[in-house]
Amino acid sequence: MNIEPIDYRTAAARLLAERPDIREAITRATLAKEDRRREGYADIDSEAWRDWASRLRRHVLANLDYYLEQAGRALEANGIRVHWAEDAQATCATVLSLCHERGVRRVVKGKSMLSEEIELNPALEAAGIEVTETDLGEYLIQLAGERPSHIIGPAYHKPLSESQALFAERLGTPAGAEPSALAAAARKHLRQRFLAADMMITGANAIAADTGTIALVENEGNIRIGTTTARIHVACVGIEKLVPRLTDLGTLLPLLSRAATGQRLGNYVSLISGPRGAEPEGPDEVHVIFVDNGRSRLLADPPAASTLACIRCGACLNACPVFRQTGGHPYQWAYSGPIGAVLAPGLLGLERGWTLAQASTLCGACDAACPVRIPLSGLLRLWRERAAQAGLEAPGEAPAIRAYARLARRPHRFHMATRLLGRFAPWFGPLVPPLSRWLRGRTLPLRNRNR
Amino acid sequence: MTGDLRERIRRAAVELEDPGLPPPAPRPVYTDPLTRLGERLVTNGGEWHRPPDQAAARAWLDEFAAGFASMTVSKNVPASLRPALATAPPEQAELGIGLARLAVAESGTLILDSREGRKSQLLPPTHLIWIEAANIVADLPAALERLAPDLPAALGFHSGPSRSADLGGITVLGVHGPGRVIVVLIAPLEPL
Repeated sequence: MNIEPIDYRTAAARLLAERPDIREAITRATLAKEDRRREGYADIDSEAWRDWASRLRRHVLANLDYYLEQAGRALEANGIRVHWAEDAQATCATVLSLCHERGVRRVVKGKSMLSEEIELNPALEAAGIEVTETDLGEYLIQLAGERPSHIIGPAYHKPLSESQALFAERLGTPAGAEPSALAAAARKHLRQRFLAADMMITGANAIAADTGTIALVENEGNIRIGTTTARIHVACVGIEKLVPRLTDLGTLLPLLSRAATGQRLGNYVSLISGPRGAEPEGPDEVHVIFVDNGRSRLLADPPAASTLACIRCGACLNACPVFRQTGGHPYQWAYSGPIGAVLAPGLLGLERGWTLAQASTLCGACDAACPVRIPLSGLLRLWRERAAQAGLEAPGEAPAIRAYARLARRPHRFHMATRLLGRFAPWFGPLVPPLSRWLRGRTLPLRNRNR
Repeated sequence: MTGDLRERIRRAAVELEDPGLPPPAPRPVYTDPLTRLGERLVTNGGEWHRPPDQAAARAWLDEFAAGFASMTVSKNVPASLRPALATAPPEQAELGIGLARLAVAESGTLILDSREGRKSQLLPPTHLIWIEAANIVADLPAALERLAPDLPAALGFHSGPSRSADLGGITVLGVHGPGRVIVVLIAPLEPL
């Protein structure tokens, strides 16, 4: 396991200095989605819905063994093959062996953050299998050789001009073509890939344990088409993504949609309860791979286990004033924003993931957005405390906090010190560590002469 | 599930507080689901027609179909609701025609059953969906309750034309699925 801490600070600083256009694109996209979420919450009793969803998801986590067994049995009874994978490597190996046994050469994919987490695409490509992302945003970044910058909008960071240039080069569209012309070119190209595909790989938004049904939400129709045309459908699903009853999806999916994009329901929902059997069209085989990859360890950590209630809507990313400056790339793994920052130490280990919990102002905007009421700011603080207890803090942080504590207990000295610092720190601050490090990302207020 | 994983999850789960299953979340009450369905569908970018009777529906269909060269029709659509158009495989047809199993008023959603064939629902650029008034329900939990006893391999919930905002945040339609969705309300059909 890689235990080198993720160097968020350097990556974020570099992005902010080198790519102001990314900052602008991400800020615009996330603010727009944040507005849509507020509108989406406004025409339901969102407080009551969030209470409902929070309770449902916590009930599932507290009975996860029961619901996994039930789901496994119900899926199998529907003719869906169920596999269990301990970690990323085992998941990739399961997919690869399905490919080898069944002569799969061409794979199409629906957007799946789990597949990013386990780095499935490189594993397939290394085995000589052609992999095509079919969500338009994922397709764009696959063409560009990049990674998703957002759980819901993988290409939120891409200004239109970049997409135009990319499509002109790769699909032969005219320079500066309208978005509708770009979409038409992608449709034509990807339609051929769908019709030639052997296997469709997706994630799952949820699995209903009672009926053994896989639920997938999307807007483009690529998941519906891929799960229709390919002869094999493989869904890679985190072990936590269960709901007890099919009818629970009746509230969970509308809430997910509202939180993610403000829609009353994603434009397409697929509820898959088996292979085609005697039906005219659809896959001959459907497989579900339940993936642990650190989740059972996080479940065994009661103060942090509620992180697993997450339904991956991306609302906390859109609400986060820190995420909004850079997008997801500086977080350097599949999940970014507040949820990524609390999943990272949980799934990757404290040593590697603790730095992401520092990428927050603890303002609590994420708590107010989360549809399943994960106490995100509390969890950010929890991981910061654990990092400090493990001696993983930034150099100079502990002595600085101790000095502050001494001062703050003596009001007279505190006021004198702040006056002095206010006057002189702008001059000597940038020269003296650790103040210089702290000031790298901050500007001290100018002294007000009239006061 | 491997015994090891099951045991690990069981030991972890038992330490967590169980709030129990929640009672249903409150839902707005729609007095007129049929009108609501039409409004929501149009908000989502779909088209909605409500012909006064079967004859008017047929007249509308003949005029509408004149704009297309070929069609693919689900086997659940009765002859009286098939226009006089050349048929083509779903991969080539300009128009797909199907019959929704249910519709959900609150989100403007048509629920399509894979037993009628999925390609005609997805591959043509235009999709015409017939819906019987008796099969319109107010909300999604009510729809799922009706669907649960008889689940096909795949249910497709379609709430409007295929859309994406992945290109610079600008909404485009018809990215993969149909870019034009027309829903027409019909009187109860004779059983096939």
